[in-house]
Amino acid sequence: MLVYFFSAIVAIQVALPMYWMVSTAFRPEREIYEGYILPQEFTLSSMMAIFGFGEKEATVGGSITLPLINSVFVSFTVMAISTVLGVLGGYALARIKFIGRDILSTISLFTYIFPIVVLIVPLFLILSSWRLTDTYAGLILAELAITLPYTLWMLRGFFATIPQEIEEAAIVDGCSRLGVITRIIIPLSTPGIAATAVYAFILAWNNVLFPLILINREELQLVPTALLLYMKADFVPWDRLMAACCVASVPPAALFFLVQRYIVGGLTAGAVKG
Amino acid sequence: MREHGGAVTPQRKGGVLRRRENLTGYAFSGPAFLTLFFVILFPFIYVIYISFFRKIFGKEAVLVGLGNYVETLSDPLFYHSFYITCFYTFISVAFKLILGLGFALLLTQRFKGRGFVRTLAIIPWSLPLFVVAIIFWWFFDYNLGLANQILKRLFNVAVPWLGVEYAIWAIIIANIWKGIPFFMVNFLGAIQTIPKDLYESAEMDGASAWRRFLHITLPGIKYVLLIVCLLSVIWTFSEFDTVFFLTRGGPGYATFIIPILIYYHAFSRFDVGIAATVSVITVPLFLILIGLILRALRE
Repeated sequence: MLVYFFSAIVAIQVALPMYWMVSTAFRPEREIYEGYILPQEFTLSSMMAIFGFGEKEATVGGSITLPLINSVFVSFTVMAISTVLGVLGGYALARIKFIGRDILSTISLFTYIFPIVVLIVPLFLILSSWRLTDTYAGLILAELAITLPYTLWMLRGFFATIPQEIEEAAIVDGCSRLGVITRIIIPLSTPGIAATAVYAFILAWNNVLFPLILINREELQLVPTALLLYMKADFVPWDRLMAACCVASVPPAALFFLVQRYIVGGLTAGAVKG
Repeated sequence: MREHGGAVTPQRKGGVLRRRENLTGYAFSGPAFLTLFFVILFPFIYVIYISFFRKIFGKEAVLVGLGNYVETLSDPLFYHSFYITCFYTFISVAFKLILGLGFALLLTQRFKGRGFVRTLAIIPWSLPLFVVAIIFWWFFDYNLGLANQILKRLFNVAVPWLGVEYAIWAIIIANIWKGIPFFMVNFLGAIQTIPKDLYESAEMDGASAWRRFLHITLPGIKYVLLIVCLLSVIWTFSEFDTVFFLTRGGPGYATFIIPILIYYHAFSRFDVGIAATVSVITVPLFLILIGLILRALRE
């Protein structure tokens, strides 16, 4: 019985803020200002408004559609680059015996744990001297500072668990290293690579600092900076802000639950930034 | 001659192979680490370099030696910022540790619906930090937020959650809410590696649940616990998003944690030199903590 009592506590503490977001997103504005805790009426008008449909205005920030597309594009590109570089680098760290391998392994773990916030000043100066501020090239490069150490360290861990004999046999048969990767390593660790890639996407999606400091042009805004504009209104449009929060959470949350059993495997395989 | 050559060839072949192996290693890891060089190592050196200059955005940099350090270390705002960052980090990590461990112990019990509770419990981890911060901004709204609506109905009080006195607690609560699952999941994994028969024999010897926890569970998860706590200290200390979206460092300077201070110096005051100096001053702390983690990981 006691377990159910504690389970209820766990459930309630998680549910309260979640409930508040979802219920606000789907109720008429009038209800919010009258202070109802339980919803009386269901409406999609706020959800439609943030995409620019229906009678309600989207609010000062404008429609969320473009920031969503931008966020998908940037996160996807960051994911693709950090996965490709991570597979190659992670394989080298796990399998190839070269001088400096241990140092590079430590560097990948080190840079993964290291808080990027202390590097925002130099990164901004460097990227602006290369004229890369207000461009996605600069933003993507900066976000690699977060995702690449992660993919390197995780993939190194996944590759190290593959039995070495299969590879050695292939090399004896005249298979090149690149062939080993495409024919053996990738097929044997597809779930691990996919999960790592997906988590890199989530890391990029959730990043606030770089779009905040690097992107000014309105048409290049990503989801977090678009939400900042929503919050800056004199009169906060709570219903639409919460609808936008729901929309911003769906991609990372859905992807997270899809891959969580691979990425929360343990610390030795590579801790996950929480 | 032939025999001599035969003795030498394998050795030479070994050398060539080794060199080939080195080259392949560099070719494969090169692109990744070259990128890391440009986005992490070079900025890391550069931030130290700029900290010796008086530099305002758009103006020429002037070498001032340790001037920025003197200025930062005599600035009351820096000490205030450092103090509240430590305070918030300590309280947050302590609660995340206790609650995460508690949740993990709950979920190692066998009961119907355990999978459901586990899924529910890790939801906060799956949400972006900025969303969590915005939800709590609304949750803690003085007039209309759920927290005060419940308090008003139950106890007829309203707490100014985002006022000067309580804002840091609003941040701490949001941080704990989001961070518990990370602790919980890692503890769950670690507890599962403890052999079951240890518990069985302890139970047969009549050890109480508390003693079993103290003498079997705790030693069994010792290293994971240490590593998770150290990681959490680093990531909580350097966490920017929650405060930026929830209170912007305010009201006044009530939640002006170090990452906000760096951002404020660089992007509100445009004083890049001071911002770099604050960054550099906090780096040794992170280096020590990361060093401890690397050592613990080797165990």
